[in-house]
Amino acid sequence: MLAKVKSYGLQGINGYEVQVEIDINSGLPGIEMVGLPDAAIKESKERVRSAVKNSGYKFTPQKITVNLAPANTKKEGSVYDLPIALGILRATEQITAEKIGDYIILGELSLDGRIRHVHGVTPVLISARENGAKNVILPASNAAEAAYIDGLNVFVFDKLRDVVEFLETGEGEPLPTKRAEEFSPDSESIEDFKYVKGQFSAKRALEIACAGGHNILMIGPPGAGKSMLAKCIPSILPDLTQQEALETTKIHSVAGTLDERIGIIKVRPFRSPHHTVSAVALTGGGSNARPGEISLAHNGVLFLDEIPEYPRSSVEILRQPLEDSVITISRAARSVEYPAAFMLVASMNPCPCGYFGSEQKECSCSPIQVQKYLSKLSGPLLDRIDIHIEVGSVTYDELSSNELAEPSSEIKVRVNEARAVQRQRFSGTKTFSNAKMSNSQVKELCPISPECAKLLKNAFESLGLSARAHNRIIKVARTIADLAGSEEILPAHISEAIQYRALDRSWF
Amino acid sequence: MSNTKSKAYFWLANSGVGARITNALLGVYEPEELLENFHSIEVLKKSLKKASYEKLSKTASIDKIDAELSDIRKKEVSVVTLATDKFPEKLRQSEVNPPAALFCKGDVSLMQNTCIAVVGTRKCTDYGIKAVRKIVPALCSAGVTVVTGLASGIDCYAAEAALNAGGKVIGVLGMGHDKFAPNDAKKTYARVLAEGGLVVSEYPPTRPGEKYTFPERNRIISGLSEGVLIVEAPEGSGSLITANFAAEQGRQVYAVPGNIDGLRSSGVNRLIKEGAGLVTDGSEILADLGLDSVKNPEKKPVPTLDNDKKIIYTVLQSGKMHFDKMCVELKIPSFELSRRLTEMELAGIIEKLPANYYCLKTV
Repeated sequence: MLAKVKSYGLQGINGYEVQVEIDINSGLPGIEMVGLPDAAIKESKERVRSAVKNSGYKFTPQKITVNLAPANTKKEGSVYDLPIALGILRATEQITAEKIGDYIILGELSLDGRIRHVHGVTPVLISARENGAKNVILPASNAAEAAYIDGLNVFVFDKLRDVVEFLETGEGEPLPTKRAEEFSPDSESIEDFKYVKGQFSAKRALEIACAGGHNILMIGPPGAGKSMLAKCIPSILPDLTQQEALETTKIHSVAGTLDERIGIIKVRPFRSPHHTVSAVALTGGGSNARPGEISLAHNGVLFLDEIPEYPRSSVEILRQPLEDSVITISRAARSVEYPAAFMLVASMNPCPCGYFGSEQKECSCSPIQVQKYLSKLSGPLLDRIDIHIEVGSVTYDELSSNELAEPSSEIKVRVNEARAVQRQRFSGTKTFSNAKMSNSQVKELCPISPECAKLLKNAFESLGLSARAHNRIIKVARTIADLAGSEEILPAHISEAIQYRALDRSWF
Repeated sequence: MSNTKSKAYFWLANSGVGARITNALLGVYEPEELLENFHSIEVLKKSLKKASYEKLSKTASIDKIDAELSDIRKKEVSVVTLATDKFPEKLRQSEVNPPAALFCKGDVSLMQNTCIAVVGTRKCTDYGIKAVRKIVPALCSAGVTVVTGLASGIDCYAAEAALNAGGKVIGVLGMGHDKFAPNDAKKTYARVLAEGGLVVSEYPPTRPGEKYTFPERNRIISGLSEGVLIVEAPEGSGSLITANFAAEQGRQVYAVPGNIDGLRSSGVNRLIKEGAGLVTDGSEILADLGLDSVKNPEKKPVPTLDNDKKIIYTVLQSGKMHFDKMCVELKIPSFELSRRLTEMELAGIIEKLPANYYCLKTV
């Protein structure tokens, strides 16, 4: 008999339906898998055979053909073990399971018949729901993740036998759904700004960067505290919205970096790959088109400490995603697109010896060396960084004072409020933050009063700011205005934004 | 250039044999005599090195000289020889070992002015640049012409500071005009000429710079000047050679002191120990040389500012200050301080320095 079971596959973070067809024929015994299965799927037959036998069913030698349709798409992963096993049981008429066609089924099998956890449940469920599916069968260990997706009846099971019993009797309750309550990081685990002494200018710049999602570059001598400031960023990032959380979860689910006990990403990712990271690991790719660091940092922060240490080729690849908020990974047969809307935080020394402008140590570089050092980063990349500040070392007096500075929790309140204003502003669009505004959005949503225009013109002429800084300053000013609760961008906001363009100054 | 004497001087300068040999020959022969009879003076073949003899003999004809001169004129280079009044008296001094002619672009009359040389290291620091910007304008407002080597670093900053203050600049090159190389200095070179200055070289236009031409031209820098100011120099800096020449030529030597542990201060600090005048202000040089100085007010009158900005102005009067320190001292939140600072910058009252420091704007 021919058996058909529905399952799902993933291309990037988009799911598509896979029809698992099982046919029993005469011929030499064995299981033949067709439909471009990858190595893990080809090994399925061993797992399926043992799981079926150890669940108390028969597995007699016959020629079994397993087709994974559509035939010309490469299938990946171990999710098809369970549908194949069920298909074989139906094809050999060991079970009736008439309603099997109503369900989308995924699961990996252990040799003893237990069902194991799979990756990518969130994007699969979201795509399935979009495509009109109603009922899904999943491994029990994926319950936490599946619970956050509503609009579907999800049934979870531990063992193959349990699935069969459910299908035969129709008795079983779908998983109750829940909404994520809190999208806040656990305050014990991260650094807090209250322990950072001094650095008022840097803290303010980071507050603005987090509020508006602006890319930021910190320039300063070794030991000034750039890395430490960066580590405090997670404590003031705005809370994820439900939608952002699901998007982020999709990616981490595919990558396998989702904690299965929690099942959803609740805090903005903070990815800080070491500078030995390969270009593929950074942007994504590899034989199975795995998401890279920039996609894992989607809706979060990508921190590159000492950015000149990263291979130029890897850093240059960041240009497309910084501009478009997506990364396209090309493979032999097709290309896969992953979202990559991240906030870039980078740090670097001002010159080869590191001490240009420092009061603590004398710089041993000539003015030309200083200017050349920055040219290691390409113009187009630096262009996409909205805020650049110089971070200096803090004096001993300031370090040893016992006063605590403003705590992160208070800064975060302001950041969250500014983000709420942005959500209002961009409702109905795909933009979530001021930093990601397109040039036309800037024109439309950030009108500049004549007084502000005059101020900007003056700044460009007297301070030598570059023309491409224009829209960036306006976006930053828009965030500053949001933080101040002002609907209009005032000259005061532009004045402040101008101070965050360190690289446009003449000594660089 | 009509007379043979001038042409003879030109021939000597353009040949490339160098000032020492030229002056040795001129000690014995008159220039036109030398030129006209060069090939028949037997003893020259023996006393000159073969290479030098060749250089002189090849071009020892009026026709060849005329051809060279016309080529050089096409490049807008004027030739000032020992034969003319335009060649400054102070440079004729034997201790200077003057060249027979100077290849010039720009206003030749500047060489007759009272000049002070301002030189220093190529790898200068912020401190050196600041010192130049503090001292040079005072010299210019007294009508002094600034002489410098136009090397990148202190030399160029000195030229720029003089031009910014409306003063005149003479640049002295260590190579021919055509071969002027350093990229960043090219802008300064062009600016000097555009703003009524002068650039001279003892080397013919096509002659590239060599290791010995740079120290060699320093004697002309000091030769043209009443005094030489070394702004910033580590040991081994070429600008210290200029100080040596100055001493030999009986010119005054001044130096700006540096930090006792500073990388770039070892040379200037040594000069001061050996007797160079310690200078912290341009007026001190003017006073020492007996030149009139324009009264420089100690402090510019405080511009009328509202209170918000006045407190910032006051705190910066004692020197530069870091942004964070201003936040603490003035008890203003960071965003408010940033705004006021931008406004004051745009109004030209303060300047931003590297590493988030701010200071009052000097001219």
